[in-house]
Order: sequence, then C-alpha cells, then structure tokens
Amino acid sequence: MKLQNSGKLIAAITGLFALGNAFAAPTVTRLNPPSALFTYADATPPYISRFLPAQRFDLQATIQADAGKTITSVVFKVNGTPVTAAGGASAITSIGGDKFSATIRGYSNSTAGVKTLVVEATQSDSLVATGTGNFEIASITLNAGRKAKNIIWLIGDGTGIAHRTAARIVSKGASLGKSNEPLAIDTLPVTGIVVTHSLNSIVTDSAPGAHCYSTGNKANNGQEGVFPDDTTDKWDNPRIEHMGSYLARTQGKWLGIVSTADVEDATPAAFAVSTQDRGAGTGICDMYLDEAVANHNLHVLMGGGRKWFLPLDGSAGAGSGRVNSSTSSGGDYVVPSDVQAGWSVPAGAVDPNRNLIADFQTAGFYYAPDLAGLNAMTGSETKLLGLFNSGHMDVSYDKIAHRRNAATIAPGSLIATYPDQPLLEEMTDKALTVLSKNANGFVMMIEGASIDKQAHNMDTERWVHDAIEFDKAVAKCIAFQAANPDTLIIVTADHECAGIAISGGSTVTDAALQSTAVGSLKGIVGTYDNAKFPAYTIAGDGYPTTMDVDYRMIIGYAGNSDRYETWRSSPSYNVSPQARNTTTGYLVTGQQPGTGVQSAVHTASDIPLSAGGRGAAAFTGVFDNTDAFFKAMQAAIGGSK
Amino acid sequence: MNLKSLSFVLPVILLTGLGLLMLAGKDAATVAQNRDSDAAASAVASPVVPYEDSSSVALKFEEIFVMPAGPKGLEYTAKAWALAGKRVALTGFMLRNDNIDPAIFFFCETQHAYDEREEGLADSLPPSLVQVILPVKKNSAPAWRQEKLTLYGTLELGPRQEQSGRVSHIRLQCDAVTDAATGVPLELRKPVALQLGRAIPIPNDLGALPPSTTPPPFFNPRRNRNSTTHHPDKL
Ligand SMILES: [Zn+2]
Repeated sequence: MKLQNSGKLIAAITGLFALGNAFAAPTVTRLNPPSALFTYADATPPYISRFLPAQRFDLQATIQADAGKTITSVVFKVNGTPVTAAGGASAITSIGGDKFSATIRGYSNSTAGVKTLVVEATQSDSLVATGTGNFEIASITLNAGRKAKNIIWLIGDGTGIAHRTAARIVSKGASLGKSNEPLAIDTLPVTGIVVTHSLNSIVTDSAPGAHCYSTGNKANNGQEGVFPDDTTDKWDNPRIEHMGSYLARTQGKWLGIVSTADVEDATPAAFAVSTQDRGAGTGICDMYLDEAVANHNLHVLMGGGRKWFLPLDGSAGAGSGRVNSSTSSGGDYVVPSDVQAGWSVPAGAVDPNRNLIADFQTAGFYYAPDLAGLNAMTGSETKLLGLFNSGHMDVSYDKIAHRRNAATIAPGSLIATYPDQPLLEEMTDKALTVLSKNANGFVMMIEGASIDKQAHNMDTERWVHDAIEFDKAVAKCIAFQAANPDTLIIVTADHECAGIAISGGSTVTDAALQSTAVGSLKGIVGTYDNAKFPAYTIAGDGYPTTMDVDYRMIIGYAGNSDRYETWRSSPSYNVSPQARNTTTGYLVTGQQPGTGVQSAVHTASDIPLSAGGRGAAAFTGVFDNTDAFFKAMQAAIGGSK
Repeated sequence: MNLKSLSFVLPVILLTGLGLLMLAGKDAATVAQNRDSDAAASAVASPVVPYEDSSSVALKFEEIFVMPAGPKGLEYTAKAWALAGKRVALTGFMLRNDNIDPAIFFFCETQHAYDEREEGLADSLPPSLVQVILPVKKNSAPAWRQEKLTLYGTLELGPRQEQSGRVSHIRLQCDAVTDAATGVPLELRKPVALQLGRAIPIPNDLGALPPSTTPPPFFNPRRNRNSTTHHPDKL
C-alpha cells in the first residue's frame, strides 16, 4: 500500500544501495484518520473519515524506521499546507521495534470538502517516508427551518426489525391481519434503514456501533471515541471529538447518558469516552467526570456499574471497589501530555481509592442509588448521577415480577440485592426533567441494553420484555417532543443481535406445552396458518401479565450457539444457554463457528431507524450509521428544511 | 500471539509423543455423557467414599453480602466476615468461560457462562462470584463441569487486584472438590493441551479485542468497484 507512495521515491534518492535492499527505507504503515486512499490507493468515495466543520480530531501516523534509526521530524500537510500543532499538542514517540508514532492532537478544519492528508517523516539519516490519505469535511446547510434544540438518541442495543415486531405482537397484539395498535416507535413518522459495519469488520460490536452516532466516524471493534493505532497504551489513540463536546463548545448544550447496562459498557461510554479498550473499567468511569462533565457538559449519567465508582479499600467489611491497575484490562487511565494539551483534559491517575461517587457529588451531582432516590428529587436538580446496580441492571422481566410480588426473585438475578431498580421509562422521565432545564438544549442517549444481552443469551421472554420497556421510554420522549417541538428523536440500534426471526406460533396451550415430552417439543411449532395470532394480556403496569400464554409466539435464532429449547420462560436469569433446561428442552445446535462461542452473536444485518420531530425528515432511505450523526448535526447546527 | 493455533498444535504433539495423555483424553471432554460413564465406571471399580470434613461451615452465596445493598458498596455479612480465614463449604456451579488458568476458576450460585470477548469486565456475573484457587498440577488446569459441586477450603475476603483486571472480593483456597449430590471427590484439573476450544489468557493491554490491523494490500475489499482511478492490482 504505502510502498507505492514512498518506496519508489526512496529508492531513487538512495541509489544503488537502496535498490540492493529495497526494504531499507522508512515507511508509513498507518495514517489516521483512516482512508481508502492510504490503505487501497483509492481516491474515490465513499470517504472513510468525515467530520463536521471545526470538529476536532487527531492526526496520527505510524512510521517503521530502519533498524537502529529514529524518526526525527514529522510534518502533516492538509491540501499541501503544513499543520501547526498547538503548544504541546504534538509528539513523536518510539513505540518499539523501530516504530514511531507521530501525532498532532485536536486538529480541526472549517472548510467543507475532501482534503488530502500527506505525512512526511524524516529519519535520522535524512531519508523521508511519506504517506497519503484523505478525509472529508461535511458541509452544513443553513436552512430556513428551525434548529433541533434537543436531540434524543434512543438505542435499543441489538434491536433489529424482528425485535421490534416481537415487542409489537406481545404488547399490542394482532388480529385479522392487522396489528391492534402501533408501538410508540411505530408512531414516529420517518423510517430509515441503517448499515452497521465497523472499521474492521462487517459485523460490529457495540463500541463502534455507538461511536458512529457520537462522532460521525468508524471505529474498530472494541474501540470507542478513537481510531486504531499501533501502541499497546489504551488511552493514547487518535481521538475524534464527541457530539457532546462539540455541542457543548459550540452551542452550550448539555449531555445526558442513560442505560440499563453498567455505565462502563460500550454503548454509554462511546458517547463520552476515548479508549481503544471498551473493557477499560475504572478509567472509563473516571473519564465521565474528568472529561465529560468538564468538557461535554455531562449533566445526567444513569445506569448500573456502581462497582467502578467506589474506593478500593472502602470501610471495614466493604465488598466492592475499583480496579487498581493501570496496565491490565480494567485499569485506570493516564493520558500522555500531547493528549492533555490538545484536548484540554487532565492527565488522569491510577487512583484505586478514589471515591468517584463523592467526587460527582462535589461536582454538583445529585446521587440516586435506587428508584426511591430518583423519586426523592426536589425538581431543582441540574445534575444527576444514578447507579442502580453493581454491574448491569436487572431486566424489566425480573423488575416487574418483583414489583408485582416481592417474593419473586429469579435465581441469578440481583433483585434481592438491588430490589428498587427503576425501569428505563422512569430513568428517562427524570433525565428529561433535569436536561430540559438548559435553555440551550441538550443531547441525550438512552439505551435499552439488555435487548441485546438477553438476545445473546437466547432468553426470548427477557429480551422481548426489555424491547417493550424500551418502547415505553420512547413514548416518554415522544410526549416530551410534543410539548417541546424543537426536539429531534432518533430511535435505532447499533447492530442486530442473534439473527432473530419470528418463525411462528405454538399450536398448544401452555399447560400442554409443559407436559409435552422433550422429544416432541419440536412438533409444537406452528408455521404459516398454524401460527395464528398469539395473544398476550397487558396488566395495569403496562407489561404482559405473563409471557407464557397459550399458543405463544415462537422465536428462531440464526446467529445462535447451542441451546436447549423449551419454548417457555426461564425461571432463572443469565444462565448459560448450554446449561439451561438441559433436561427439559431439546437441543438446537448452533451454527456459530470458532471456539468458546457460548451465546448468540451480533449479525451484519441492517437495522431500522425511526425518527420524529425537528429535522427528522432527513432520516429516510438506506444510509450508513455515520450518516445518522451528520443528519442529526445538520438539524442541530444548520436547521431543518 | 494467537493461542488458538497453540491449542491446536500442542495436542497433536502431545498425543503422538506421550501415550500417558491419551488416557487422560478419555475424560477431558466436558460432555455430560462422558462424565457420567466415567463416574459410573469408577463407582463400579471401587466403592465411593464421600468426602468428609466436619470442620467446615456451610456458607451460602446469599449469605456473603448484606441484602439489600445500601446506597454505597456491598458489605459482607457478619457470618461471612466471621468465617474469613476459616474453613467453609460452598455449593454451586463452575463458571463456564473460554480462558484457561492453571489454578483459578470462578464459582457461582447459578450456571453462568462468561464470554470475555463480548462482555469484558462489563459482565453479567453476580457480585457473589467466588474466585477459587486450586493447587497447581503441572500442565493442567481446572476444566468446566456442568454438575453442582461442593467445594471445601479456606475463605478469604477483601478486595484484591487480579492480573485479569478483575478485583476479586471472595476467594476460596480450595483443597477438595466434590459432587454436591453424592459427596464423591472429583478431580477438576485436566491437561491443558486436551482442553480444546479454550485459550490461555494473555496480558490484555490491547483490550477486550485485539486491535485489528488494516488488511494487507493483496486483500482489497474495494477491488470490485467500478473505479477508473488507482487500482492496487495494477500497481
Ligand atoms: Zn451484544
């Protein structure tokens, strides 16, 4: 790739010696932002990296020097003009193996168009390596229409078409060929189809799957807020400015992040944090306060994950605490000086005894440990931290069962330890109350996390239930939008999970299902006409009275691992599909290749997007996940048509 | 380094070179039927003697932390705290995961699987997860078993940073593993080379997923584009 750019030139310069040893020349092996021009010498669209006018991002190149040589200077040129770094915001770092990483931090460009990026790296013996790539600065059209003051991203993690259909069949019902009622999501007027590939695979995970909405760019699987580099340091990657930071800086908006997952998890973190390791734990949570509260106007953070916020030593007898290592997975963060200078962020520290909850409170946050804490808010709070579980929050299936009957606690759930966890719609309500206090508006991400997690687990009843919970959060946002018309609502996913399809309906009652011999369970699946219209009953709390109805809906999994199928709800929570119902269900063998695959997996299938409110009209057609970011920013910056 | 290749190559070498390991291979598989037949065979061969340890106090998972949790961190119960440093018996299930560790496995109340690639440390594991430490047996590691087990050993409480990045809060220095139903002692440690499909954990500075490099130039996903500009195949 880069050899055609630099190899021939170097060979010409160095004469016979270089011809005799064609590899004795420094080469640029990576150039960030990523581009097809650099990787495949292809200058045609689509351009891989695209930014808003004035959106900040890092320029980075990896240079392989000759053995024993060093790289002494590196110049980045955009359309032929050398880029000057702000004081301290550049570095040339030896990264081992005669490799060097050169960076300029916090670059931005305000002129729309495709730009050519050239890096010229000079070796200690004056040999020069070059690499050529490109990136695009998007144009924002100043429209006559009003701007989206508030932007709400609702991400049903792993939610493909079938997850929505299943939620609709169960919560709304269908008869005589028509749905009895639409989901809240269905009432949003604009629909699009989103392509979800990540930078390094057709199948994305949740980190790039959310990063794309927050930055407008592609990331490698496992990475968020950054482009890939060649160092092992998980905190030094080239960064891209998040939407929250950009809108805080340019419009004074506030940021909210709400999830049913551990807030350290990929989807919430991809809206505020920059790391090449989505599992970086303590450091990710520290960055919420140190960077996002300071620079992104983060005013609401809610979900699970309290374990990352507590001091390691704690008081006597304390049984939770932070990771205290900066080197292993799950470590704390320290960022290099060029990142600090280029992004106006603190260095970070390995501080296992930090009391992060107390630090949030010192920064003005109201802390709610449970639903009672949320309900005790006075209404005057402008900053809200809610941490409702040590890890991921329990799912709505178990939260609702416990609310209906306090004695109902599924083995494997944490309901007994955290009995008062809010539902996503309750968290959404409080988040909207807090964020709507800002006269400049807000951007918020609300994630239904366990639609994905329980689809992985092939626990049909639990992911369907959480898809219903997610729809109720959407309904809260739609009601907010009705009262605040300058609000844009985008409901989508990050990827499809588990290859779900609704393949039919049971031909027997639940009682008959329970007494069906394991060997005959396969025979109860009714397809075509025999699927009929499964009918569920909705209780006063808005959720199904039971998921185990007669003639129930039947779900198939195409992205599956082995599982034992009973076609009934699992009395226990989060039990491995290979360990669950081994005597009561029949074995459905998985098609996933590879070692250790113990759950269903993400697929590359396109995902649906529904939008409503200010600027929603743009979200139609089939488009890339990064396009959604630019459509939303057009509405926020340039206004709707 | 990719350990999948290692776990593929090693058994080939060992199986051809060491006849002894062939014997172990018979029960290395974690398939229920194999285990059952093994257990049955040994039951026929010699009378089963259930493990006895009257000095151990039975501790349940729900007795480890105060429930419900308060607004801050989890707290150990008085019972658990009083048992720290003493012999306990714990009944539950092995966590099923990909990674092999020569000494350590995780133990919980219900049958969990842990997919490190998918979950990282934002996992769905219960806080009462017990890190069990077994004496190391050369070239062996604890292999997953499905059945309910009772473990005996010394309880350790308090946070400790583990190499994996995890902070453990409950540890068991385990000296006896038994089938919970029968009390029959079990050997969990099986030759590493025969635990196909599992990986030896590596220091994970690169994150939950290894960083992917750009595909080399001979593999060009853009080559089927109808492009008149630069084409790598022509370079
Ligand atoms: Zn997932």
